[in-house]
Amino acid sequence: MKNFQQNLQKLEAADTQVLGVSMDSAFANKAFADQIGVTFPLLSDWGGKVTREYGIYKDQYQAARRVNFLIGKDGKIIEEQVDKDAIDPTKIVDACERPKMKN
Amino acid sequence: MPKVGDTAPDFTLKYFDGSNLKDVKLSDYQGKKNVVLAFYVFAFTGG
Repeated sequence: MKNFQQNLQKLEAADTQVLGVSMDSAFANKAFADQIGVTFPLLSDWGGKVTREYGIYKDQYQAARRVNFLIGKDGKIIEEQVDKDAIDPTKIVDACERPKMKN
Repeated sequence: MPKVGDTAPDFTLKYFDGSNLKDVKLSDYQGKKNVVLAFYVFAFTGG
């Protein structure tokens, strides 16, 4: 999450909204956001319905995998990063800065 | 898991802004903004 925060200005300049999602409660997420200085919304998928719909629930941890999706204005997925690759969001930040994304 | 090129499944989820619980609907951004959805394991872990 901090990595997205560090890139938030770039992402916002490229017309991109960042949303974190976890299976924590909305209140735990807010406390987490305050602690690490995240200013974008951290959404609560309490019960894991959306996490399952996206197919990233991991039985082993009874939680979601770490996955980033970049979704375009047409609602289609442009980039995705999974597990370890999802820690560094450079690929997504770069994709947002492509000129076509600003249209 | 949806693949690049697929339509992202729509959802409505809540977040707490410090005073109120608010709904966020993915499809509300359609035609307006790109969206980065960052799923993470648990609050209070790294990354």
